[in-house]
Amino acid sequence: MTQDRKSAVVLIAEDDREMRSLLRDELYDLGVSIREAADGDEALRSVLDTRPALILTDLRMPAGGLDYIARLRTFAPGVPLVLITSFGDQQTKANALALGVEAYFDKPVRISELKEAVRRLLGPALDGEID
Amino acid sequence: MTGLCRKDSSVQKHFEDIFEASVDAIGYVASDEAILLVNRAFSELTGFSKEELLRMNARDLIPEQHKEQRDRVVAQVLQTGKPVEYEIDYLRKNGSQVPVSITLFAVKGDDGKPTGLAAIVRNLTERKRAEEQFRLVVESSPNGMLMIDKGGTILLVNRQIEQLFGYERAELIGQSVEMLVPQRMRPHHAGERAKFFAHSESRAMGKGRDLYGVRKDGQEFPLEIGLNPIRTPDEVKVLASVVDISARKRAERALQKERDFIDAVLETAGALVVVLDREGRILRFNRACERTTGYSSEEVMGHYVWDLFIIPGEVEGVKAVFERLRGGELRNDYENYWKGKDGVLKRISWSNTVLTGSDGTVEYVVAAGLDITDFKHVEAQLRKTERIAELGTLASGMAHEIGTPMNVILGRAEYLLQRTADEGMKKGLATIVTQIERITKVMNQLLVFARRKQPDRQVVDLGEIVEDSLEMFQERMTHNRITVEKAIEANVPLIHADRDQLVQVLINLVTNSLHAMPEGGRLRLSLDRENSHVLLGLSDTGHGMSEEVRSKIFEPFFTTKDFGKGTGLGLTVVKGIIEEHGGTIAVESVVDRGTTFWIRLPLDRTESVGTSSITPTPSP
Repeated sequence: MTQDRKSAVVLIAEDDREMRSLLRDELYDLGVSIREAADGDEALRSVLDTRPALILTDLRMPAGGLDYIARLRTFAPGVPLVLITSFGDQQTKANALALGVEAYFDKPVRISELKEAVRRLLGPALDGEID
Repeated sequence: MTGLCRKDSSVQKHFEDIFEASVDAIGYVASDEAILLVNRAFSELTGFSKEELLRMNARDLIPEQHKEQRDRVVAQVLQTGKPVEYEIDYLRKNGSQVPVSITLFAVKGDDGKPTGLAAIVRNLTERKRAEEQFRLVVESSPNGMLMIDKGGTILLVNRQIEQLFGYERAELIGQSVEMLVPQRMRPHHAGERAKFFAHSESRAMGKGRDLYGVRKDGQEFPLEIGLNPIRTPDEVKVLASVVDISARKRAERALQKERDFIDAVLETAGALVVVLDREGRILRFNRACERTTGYSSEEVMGHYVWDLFIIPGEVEGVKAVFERLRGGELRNDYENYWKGKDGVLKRISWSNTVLTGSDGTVEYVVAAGLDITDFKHVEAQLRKTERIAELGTLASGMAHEIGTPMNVILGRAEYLLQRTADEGMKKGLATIVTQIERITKVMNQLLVFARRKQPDRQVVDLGEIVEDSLEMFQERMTHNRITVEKAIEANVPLIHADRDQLVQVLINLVTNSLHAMPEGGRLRLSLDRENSHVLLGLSDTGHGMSEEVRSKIFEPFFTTKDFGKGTGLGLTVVKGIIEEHGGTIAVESVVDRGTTFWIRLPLDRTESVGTSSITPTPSP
């Protein structure tokens, strides 16, 4: 790793501070830059400011929901979306996937599985930066 | 007479007194019938004075139309010398006629030749009147009246008899009474008639037998006959009083029909019907009562209703309701338990009413009841279902709230697990991870249950679903040394069902079976058509369950598995899915022998989904 390398940015949108902190700590290991947002609006602003390489977002939070996901899709075309939601039902999962979400997880999710998905989706970006 | 006169004048005087005092009219005529001597009675009978009579001829007293006939009688007497008795009318002075009986004999002279005729004339008016009265009484009787002699010859009939039997009077008089008896009964009747004349007494004929008469047109009709012997010094006659009882028989039949009808209604009605007398004793106990209580009608008859069926705590209440009815309340409703012969309690909802006599007093209490024991179950079931629905809503809401905190705990444990080398620490953190996973599992099961949606029905082949579901267990079956038997009928119709939900049903049931057979065993699946249903059977040779367990297995959160192994929702979900499909699930189990589940799912009757059913094309 070199000092001047620009790490890939991962946006974590999550209204629960502890959950956010956990995700931050875990993803830090992957060597990515973390941007955080505590609600939907903040997440959208952040997407416009910094083009993230991946967005990891909660579904149920202030200014969240499926509309928010659809907007994210429009604002950040081509950016992989990982959705985590508390005990989601079949319908939510189907709707999310229909919107083009790359990965879907129900809370509670095993962090190892989540990290695995993030690593897979970031793949080239991670490799590019590391090299 | 002249002989007597000559011998003794006092005797002559006596004789004259007797002659005069006689109640019967006595007259003596010459051979040319000129009246020579009459007594006072004769004068009274005819209305002519003695002087007038002594100037008259006997023939003057005879109405013109009878003269010829009467002259022949006179000639006969004169010729044969033998007395003759005959009946005739006499003309009276006032022109009226009087019926008389005359005994006529010739009076002979010393040469033995008739010198004149003597007549003893009896007034028949009274007898005729009595006869006429008798005739009128008989005639006006509302019953048919018929008189016969010992030989069975009809002597007299009244108008009612003519009407009853359809004969004219003239056709009956002088004929044998057996002509009015149906052919098949005639020999018997003649025998009975002879016996009656031998020991006659007034009585009803037939003694409990049904009697029949036959009309002129051959038609038979039921009748009742009263027999009255009429004795005269020389003979016995029988006056029979005949009543046509066709109408009564018809009324009896109608009444019987009505009774049969009421019986049929009472016996076929699903309702319990019990009739009590005003003391509360059972008079009637229909078949529904017998079925519900296990007592036969004979067993309970005459017993007080509260002695047999009412549980101690309810006797007072029942008696109070009964008392209200007896006190004039026309109807009321009540609900209580009835204890059957086997001690099982049934909840009965009663509608009571009373039957009063003509004086308004209550004679009977009629109670019609419905066994609502099952309704009560359904009601309880419904309340439970409502509770479960609330639980579902609660679970869904809760899931959203606890998902994140659970994730934080789980994630932090994992995070630390990766960063510690301390074995004790690792063990503790691993436990946290497993426990969170356990909670997750319970929550997921609960959510499956809570989030059950209306089934998304497609035409599915249940046999195929069974095969597919078993496929998933292949490895575990082999591992657990479980053999699978399948008896899937080839032509079982397709059904309309939610495929995923049915797979869920099979997964849950097979999982349970596997748990029940830790030492291995046999799992048998059968699929067949049963009337308008498909019948899916799943049985294992596992440890089975007690009746107590069996009765609770569909209740949410009931489990026999070790803590953490089962959620207690598997069978609740199964039952919910089957019922949402309009089906039923039943379970049989024997401890240490195994358990069988029977699932019945309805065939869709509105659409042709079966292999053999044909749907008629609707006409436009």
